[in-house]
Amino acid sequence: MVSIDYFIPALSMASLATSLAVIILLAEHFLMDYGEVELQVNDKTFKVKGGSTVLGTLKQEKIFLPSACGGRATCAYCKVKAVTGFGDILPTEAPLLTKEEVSQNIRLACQIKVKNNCAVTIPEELFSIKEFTARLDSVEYLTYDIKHFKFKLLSPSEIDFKAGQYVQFQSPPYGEVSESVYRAYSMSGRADARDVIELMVRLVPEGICTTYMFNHLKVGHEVSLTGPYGDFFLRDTDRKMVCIAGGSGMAPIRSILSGMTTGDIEKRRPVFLFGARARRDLFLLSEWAEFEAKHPGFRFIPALSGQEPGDDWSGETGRITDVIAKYVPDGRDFEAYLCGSPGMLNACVDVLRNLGVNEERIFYDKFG
Amino acid sequence: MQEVGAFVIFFASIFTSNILLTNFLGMCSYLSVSREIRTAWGLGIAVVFVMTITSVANYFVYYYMLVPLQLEYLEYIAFIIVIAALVQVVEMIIERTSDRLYASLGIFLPLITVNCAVLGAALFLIIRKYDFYQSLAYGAGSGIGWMLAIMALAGIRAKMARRSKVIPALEGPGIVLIVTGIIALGFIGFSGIVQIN
Amino acid sequence: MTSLVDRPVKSDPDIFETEHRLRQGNYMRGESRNLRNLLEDDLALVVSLDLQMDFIVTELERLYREGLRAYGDPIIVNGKYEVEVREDRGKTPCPWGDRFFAPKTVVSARNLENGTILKYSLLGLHMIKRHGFFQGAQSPFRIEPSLLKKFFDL
Repeated sequence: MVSIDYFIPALSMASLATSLAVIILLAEHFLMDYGEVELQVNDKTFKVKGGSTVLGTLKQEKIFLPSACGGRATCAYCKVKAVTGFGDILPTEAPLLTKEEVSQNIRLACQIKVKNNCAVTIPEELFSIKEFTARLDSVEYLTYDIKHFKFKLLSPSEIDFKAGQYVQFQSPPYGEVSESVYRAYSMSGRADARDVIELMVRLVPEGICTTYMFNHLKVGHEVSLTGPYGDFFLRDTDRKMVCIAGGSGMAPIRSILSGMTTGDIEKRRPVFLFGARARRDLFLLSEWAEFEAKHPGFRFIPALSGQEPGDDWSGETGRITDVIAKYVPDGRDFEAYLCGSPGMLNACVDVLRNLGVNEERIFYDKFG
Repeated sequence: MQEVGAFVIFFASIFTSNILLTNFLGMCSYLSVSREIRTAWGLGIAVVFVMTITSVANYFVYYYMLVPLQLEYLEYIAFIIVIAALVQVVEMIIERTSDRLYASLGIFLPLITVNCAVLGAALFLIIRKYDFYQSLAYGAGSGIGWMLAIMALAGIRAKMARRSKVIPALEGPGIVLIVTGIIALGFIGFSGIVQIN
Repeated sequence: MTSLVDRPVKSDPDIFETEHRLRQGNYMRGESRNLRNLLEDDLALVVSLDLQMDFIVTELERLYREGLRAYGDPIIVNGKYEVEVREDRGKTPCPWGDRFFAPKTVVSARNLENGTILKYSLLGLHMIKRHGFFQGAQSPFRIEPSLLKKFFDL
């Protein structure tokens, strides 16, 4: 018979570990349970379970703050105004907040926690942001590296957005990618087609989300989107319009222009300057030609900066920045809507400013 | 059994036998969390707390469990388990009471578990055969000594960041180790006051 | 080399976190060496090739700045390099946790004299400059020190 002595070391270590585990569980029970607390958002009050971040808690209450990094304090999109119930600025937020924001009590919702009754203020329009489940209905190549995705909304079945706004697309883990990422894409469809979301996406080299959308996402798959976000949309004025885009930057411009009424187009006489390298980078030409035929006040001007052999091109040539002046004779009457790569965008803003366009009337998406 | 009072041990472990400056234990967090006085203070308090409690707890585990069962050879495992569990509890307390401290300690809080100073203090009090009060004094004193050292360094580093032009080759850990050496030399000056071991 | 001061010391727990983030972000694809060994191996490689990293980083930055002027079209710099800068929207945080946000920009450059092609991302350039990190052997944006030598005719 085996003597009990053999088990003493194991038994004593096990009992030591067990008693410590009990202590930890007790501590967890008394320390980590914040109970139910009241979180006030603008003028609404929610009863929530304490202990999580404001971002996570609001998500549970179906309020979706913009966030690209998923709560790792790197994107600084989820800023809220903390009214009461939060302590000092945390070291994780400090680098992402300006002095002005600190003095206004602006905080990162992904860092501050709901521990007692507290209140935050968020922009009113964020209440209308929803999380959508959508099914990919069709996908087609527009150019060799831009695809046009059409999603049918399943639940909720309708989206209410202003033409020009964007959604966040969630790319699930796949292959070697072990976590979900969120990326922003402008909607390219008409705002009155409320059960459909259209996106134009250009493949980013080694991009996590675009690689997923190009190689893994198939017609019939269900995806998750949140939105609408952004303050890039048509301003209601009588000024003339110039729209400038390159590549997949056509998306929000297409949404804006296609949503304008015939009367508006006659009055504001929009010009759409579209920059591309060569013929093979142009797309939807027939759609724009049709649009031009229907609205005599509108002009679509593609410009090629470098032609390839056999391009046979009679339209504008040169960089888009060289073409602007020809179509914007006097900047003071114009409002500009831009979308494209950051470098092009900055250059266009400079050119427009020199042409006399008031900087407050130059609109572009800030998510670049 | 040493013939020194608990009170003497308390002061000796802070000044003359400072666990960091004489035994050079607990260096990793000392080097990395000493950029800001505020964080150094936070981690220091956490270490004082953990060291005091674990010294007492380990004293009981050793003399009332391991010795009677003749399991002294398991002391390392037992001490580590006790330390790990208590650090968990401390982590929860900090998360509850100070968001700022919790965020700035970040990964270093769980790392107190493997802070050699904490295990070192537990082992020293066994080797030196301290009784209960001596162990309590030694644990608390070592913690306070460690905190003192890291805060002194943090103060110097904060001042250096503003005033001094450190040559690139010595930036970061290099200059910190030199400063530490000088602080340690300074602490030798205390050795006339009290002396243990 | 400018990067040495920022490199973590052996006992710095940060290095484990950093390595974890680097692996998650695919910056160390197919790399069996740990981060410290990878950094040391690459540093040794740079030293043995006698590369002046300060010079190289300045040159790579200059090629990017010159290339940017063409908004995505190829442009000849110095009559010797054909540079094409591809910009996409959005920013990538530096996985080393230094709060640097790199635009998603990739520079493709070709030495017209010897035909060497070098492709680097702005994040990759930053990681070389600040962290001495050239990325894992099979990472898509690994910048091979030997390729740099050839590219700049050193």
